[in-house]
Amino acid sequence: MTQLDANYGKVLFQLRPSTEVIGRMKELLLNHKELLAALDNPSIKAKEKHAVIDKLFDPEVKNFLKVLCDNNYVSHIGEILIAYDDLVLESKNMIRATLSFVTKPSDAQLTGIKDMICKKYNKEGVLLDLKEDPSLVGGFILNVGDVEYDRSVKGKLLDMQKRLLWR
Amino acid sequence: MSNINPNEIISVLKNEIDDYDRKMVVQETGTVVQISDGIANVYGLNHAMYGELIEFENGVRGIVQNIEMKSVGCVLLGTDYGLSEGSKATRTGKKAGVPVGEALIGRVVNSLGNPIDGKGAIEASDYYPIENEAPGVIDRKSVSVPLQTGILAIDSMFPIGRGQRELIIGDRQTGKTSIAIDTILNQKGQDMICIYVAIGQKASTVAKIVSTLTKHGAMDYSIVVSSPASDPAPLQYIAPYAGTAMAEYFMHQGKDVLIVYDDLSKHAVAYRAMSLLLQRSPGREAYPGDVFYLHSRLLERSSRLDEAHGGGSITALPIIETLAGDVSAYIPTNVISITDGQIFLESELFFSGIRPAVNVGLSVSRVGGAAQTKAMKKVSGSLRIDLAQFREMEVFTQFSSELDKSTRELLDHGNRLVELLKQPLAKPMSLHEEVILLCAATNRLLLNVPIKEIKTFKKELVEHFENNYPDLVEEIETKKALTEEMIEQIKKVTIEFKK
Repeated sequence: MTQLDANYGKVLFQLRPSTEVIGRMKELLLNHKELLAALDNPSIKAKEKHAVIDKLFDPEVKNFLKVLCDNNYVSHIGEILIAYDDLVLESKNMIRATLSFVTKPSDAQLTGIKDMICKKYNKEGVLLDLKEDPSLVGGFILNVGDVEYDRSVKGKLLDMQKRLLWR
Repeated sequence: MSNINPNEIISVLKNEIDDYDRKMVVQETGTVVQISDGIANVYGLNHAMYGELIEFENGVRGIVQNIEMKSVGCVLLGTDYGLSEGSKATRTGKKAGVPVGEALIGRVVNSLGNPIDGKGAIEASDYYPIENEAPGVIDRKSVSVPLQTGILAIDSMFPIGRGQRELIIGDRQTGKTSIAIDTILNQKGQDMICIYVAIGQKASTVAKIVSTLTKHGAMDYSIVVSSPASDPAPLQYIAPYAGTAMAEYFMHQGKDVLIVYDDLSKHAVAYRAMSLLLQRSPGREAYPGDVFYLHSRLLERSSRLDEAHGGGSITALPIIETLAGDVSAYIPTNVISITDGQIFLESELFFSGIRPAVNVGLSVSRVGGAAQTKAMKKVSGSLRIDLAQFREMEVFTQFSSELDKSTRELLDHGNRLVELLKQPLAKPMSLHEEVILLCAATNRLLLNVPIKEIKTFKKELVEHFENNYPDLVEEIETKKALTEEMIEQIKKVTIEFKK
């Protein structure tokens, strides 16, 4: 992610669009490759792109997308949205985490994990993505930001392999 | 290796597995978003330090070279096989470094300090970072102890002191490596540890050098760090730093170390490849802007420490290859300005049979004079001037056949000096040989020896002294000084010997 992506993300955040608006925008742009390709295509006139944007998107983000088109930066929308999401989470004093598991943890366990993360990172909430991954064999892996908490059987096996192969 | 019992191995493995216990592992990870030409762009790793080691999924390690907003650029220290977009990378929390210690002596290792000579694992005493700060002003002492190269032309005119950085520069095939290797060979019994760093050389050349060193018993005090041309650019880039880290260990123990970087032009080329792949802006000759700092920070680490810091030293002999004798190219001028003098080798001299092909006019040693032994200083005083006068006169008299007596004598003397300074490969001279021969030559005692016989005369004269005047030889070697009586004695014996 470049500084420019972050700047666009910040501008989008400052527009304060509602969650539904952003959701619709994400859905349209990320799931419809043709639309993104058309908006990114320099051979299509700006006027035509603006007309498409006027028809499809909510008024809060229209101008933002038009500027993106005019600056030929639509292809970076993925990174811009990531920057935006980070800012939203930060404003809510929340943190994103991913939990990979083999057997789904119970609700009590999940709240325990969430509490642990909140306490450790001094946040008010956790956006926990759950991911089932049978290749772990057993246990779980928790990713919070850059930090990985590995308590899986797969990790143990890999670590043991490393130790046995060492010299 | 053949008599290991398989049952033993199995029981060791069983124990290892039974005792295995691992709680949760916490580590900082990132994801590879782009990988090409030995450069990986890793998203995440927010706390990674510049120069930190990163471990990838396939076990290969990398060094953080670029830190960007949400990602870091790493150079891979090995193959990118098995790595792809989405591969995991973890921080190790360690700076890139190499194992150091006495166990490395006599070994051939790669830029990471791993053995490549098939003689088994190396038990390292310590782990030193490859990038280390150079000793400061307070820690240093000026160069005062000589380093005998065993090459008469160098020891007499461009003396090198312990802690000095003397550049060896010249075209291809002018004997640059030979000078460095001869110097290593001459360190036998001098309480010196030698490190030869081969950067971007042919593996066959390195093998040849190792066999030369082994043949002359020089591997007993030497380490060879080899990063052949087949190594990826990052490994070639770290090779001289790794060699210096190994040298620093010995220096901190109070020992004297000689390190040869062969050669730094290839090192600069490897760094250029790496920098361009890391998308740093190219400058002159497409080298990045910090190519001067690349070599200056390396060579600044060669120093002589004062007694309070152990009194060790690192003497560096960097080698630079020029193209068509062009010393004013970018990298040669850089390194010339960093080092404390240079030995300039010329292909013209080399092919006219003057070997070592040292150009006396362009070579210089800026600090070595203070370290020259008194004996050598006494006998080599007029050598450079004599040779310079000879060169000047030689050109001048090419056209005329009639010469006056003094000119003829000057030419004869010069021709004999040139002949005297010729020296075959792997035949380093000891101090007494150098002193006796120079004493005889500068006192113009060789004038009536025919030029063709100088070579045998040299040999026989030294043998004569060694056999019949062992006291004199011994005194030169131990006191390293020459009194007037000794000079008179050498003169007298030489005149007698000529009869």
